[in-house]
Amino acid sequence: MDNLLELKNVTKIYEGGVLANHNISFSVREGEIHALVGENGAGKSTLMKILYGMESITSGQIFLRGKEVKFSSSKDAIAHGIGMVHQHFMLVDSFTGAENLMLGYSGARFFSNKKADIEETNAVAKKYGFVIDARRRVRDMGVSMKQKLEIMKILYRGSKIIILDEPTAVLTPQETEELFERLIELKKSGMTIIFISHKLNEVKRISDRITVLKSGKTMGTYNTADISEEDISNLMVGRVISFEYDKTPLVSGKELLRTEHLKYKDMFGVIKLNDLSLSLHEKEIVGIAGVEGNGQNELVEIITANLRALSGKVFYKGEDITDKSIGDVRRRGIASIPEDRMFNGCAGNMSISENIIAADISTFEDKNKLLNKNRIKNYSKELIKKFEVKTKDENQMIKSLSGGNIQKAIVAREFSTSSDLLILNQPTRGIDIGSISFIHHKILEMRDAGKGILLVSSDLNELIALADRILVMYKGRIVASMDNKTKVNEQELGLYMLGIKDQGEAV
Amino acid sequence: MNYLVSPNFWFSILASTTPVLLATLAANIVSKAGIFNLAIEGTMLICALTGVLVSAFTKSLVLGALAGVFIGIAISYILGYFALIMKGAMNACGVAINLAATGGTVFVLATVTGSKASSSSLVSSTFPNIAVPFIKNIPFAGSILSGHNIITYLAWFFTFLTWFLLYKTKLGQEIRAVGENEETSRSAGINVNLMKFISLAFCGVYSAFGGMYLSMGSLKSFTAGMVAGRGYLSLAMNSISQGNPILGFASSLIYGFAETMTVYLELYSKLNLKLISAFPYIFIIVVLLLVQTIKNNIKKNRKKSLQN
Repeated sequence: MDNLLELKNVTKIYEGGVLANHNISFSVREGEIHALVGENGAGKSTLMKILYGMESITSGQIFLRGKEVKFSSSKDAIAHGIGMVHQHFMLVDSFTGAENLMLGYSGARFFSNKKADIEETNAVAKKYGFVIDARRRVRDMGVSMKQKLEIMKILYRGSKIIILDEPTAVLTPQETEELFERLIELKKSGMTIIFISHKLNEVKRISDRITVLKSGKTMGTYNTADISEEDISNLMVGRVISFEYDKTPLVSGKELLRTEHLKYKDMFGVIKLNDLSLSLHEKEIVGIAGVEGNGQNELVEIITANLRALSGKVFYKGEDITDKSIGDVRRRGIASIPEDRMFNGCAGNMSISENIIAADISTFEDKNKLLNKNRIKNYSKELIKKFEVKTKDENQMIKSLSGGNIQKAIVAREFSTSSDLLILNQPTRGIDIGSISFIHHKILEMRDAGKGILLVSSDLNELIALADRILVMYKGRIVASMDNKTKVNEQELGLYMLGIKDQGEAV
Repeated sequence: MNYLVSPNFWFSILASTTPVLLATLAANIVSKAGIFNLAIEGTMLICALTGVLVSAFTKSLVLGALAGVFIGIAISYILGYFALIMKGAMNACGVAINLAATGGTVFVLATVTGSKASSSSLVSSTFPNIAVPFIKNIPFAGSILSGHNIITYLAWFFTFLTWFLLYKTKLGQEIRAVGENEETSRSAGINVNLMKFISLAFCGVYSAFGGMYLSMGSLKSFTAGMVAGRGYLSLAMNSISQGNPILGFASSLIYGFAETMTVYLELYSKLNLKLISAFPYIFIIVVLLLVQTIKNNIKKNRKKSLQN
């Protein structure tokens, strides 16, 4: 097999001076599934954006079928037969599947022809074995169907190289399986697929060859058959990831949080919380495990008053807080770190300082109700130091920091209030190992200081390393409650998460 | 209240709907391309004056109309240049054009005619009224639908044209895609700014006819500030109709009804005149409220039916 696509010494330095890719060379053979793995921030996405013409290269060369190519926009990449499925779908919500497929694909026709478009879409779907509803509007489609539509768009444009950016992040295991079957079919029909992921088991399952990236550099390309998951992991992070902490054995104190029979259905009528009851005590970390979308977010949002339950009650220190406002709940002593840090974790365009004081601005007022600049400055500086936020100064815009440092600033804000209960939703998602370990230590410090912590995470290693108790959620119910004093078995957790095992009413 | 059954009353509704309809169509097509054009008001005003002046000096209706349309497109493109190419704040550009129009038209008017209030000293052309064959012979309906200014019929045609363009052609589909999701459209290989400038051209043409209808149709001369908020109102009409020209026509009719009602109330009722002249605006606020309430209820019911 020949090299279809070849990158030679590609370097990318962003305007701000951030080195995203450094002297990267690798090649993709025709008709293979080539996985590109690496931690968040390793430069995978940048590299793919370069291949798709969305970013220019600072130096280096790209060869396609032996000829050097230079892309100035996605249009060039498309013209050269390269297509990309982004993590955020590029679809027009109010258009139907067929209209999206045909968008921008200007045939000679001036008038639009719905019937022909739908027929064409169905023909494309049939040709590649996809099942989609061409008449349905994108806004009414599920994630999996949207993704199929995206892949079809690429195929329809005649692309021979398909780049998939973390395609399985949003899919259920069954949908992932279905996607893999399709990808293998596409490979057989001669397509070349570049598959970006950090889920090693998936990479191992589907790819022919693997290129590992680590902090902007390649760690080499390997035949999938010749390399084990452990080896890949070592290459990705440079050391074996292990979260082993010395946890002081603590006897949990009095009850802080109790939920009783919470029920919730989303706007599509899917049951998200089904009679969910739990309780959490002082000096205790309760971990919530589960495949994403099994009601974890709804649970967190109901406790923090961002969402109202259909029925059921939430108690904090024995008081009913079910119908209290978000502000009220926070003032009573529930701090929270939301799942999406850029959406509701921080105000991206404001400074670190302004974000850090946002939890309780009133404490920075002087007697004239004006903000005391000096106190704000000192407080911000102190927290930035204490939480090791890497920044020029406290006035830097928060969104210009790296994910890990943004998260540390948010943790600094939430952990420095007088709250007794901390609700953490995916506190370390998508950040670098150093920051993860730092935040883990802070969480344990909070526990030792007597606070109660509810930790929702899709990272099982994190839960096993930190939690005193692990609850597994499946379809809005707690199907297992496991004591984690002696470490829980990951495989066993998995069985509960998939709904294969169930402790039933005993929970 | 006998006037409610007189054909003249209904005829006036259609007549006073025309300028707002044209402005609404202008707002419709740009909003579908993702542009919020506050400058429709100012564009109409400038075109109203341009049409009058050029037709007065060339003695040609056609040249006057062409000049108006040309200036309409030019002004929309000025907005487009500042907002889309130079990436200025779109709303600020709109307001700037409106302020320039308010002052600029009076300045030009005073320079040319010596009067700050109206162009009545000039002899300018007007668009003719058209008696539609066959239709004019139908009793009652004939006297409502026939005999309107040619721009009124043009506006009806534009309504259909805009709808057809937006929903039945590839071009319209691409304009709507750009308005809804620019990034997606760009990645689909659509030239985003080209689509926006195409819709701005339509916006300019519609605004121009809307303005010229006022100064060369319903009145025979230009008076200062004669657009009187119709351009702003069109933005409200646009949001009621959510960019759909057919619904835009319907909501413009509501305005036409309110304005005609005002004229008749002034003639036949004993209410305070000031109160009556506020009627169209109050009426529209009430209609907006009603429309929004109905929309909310539909949404709520749909949500409920999904939850059960």
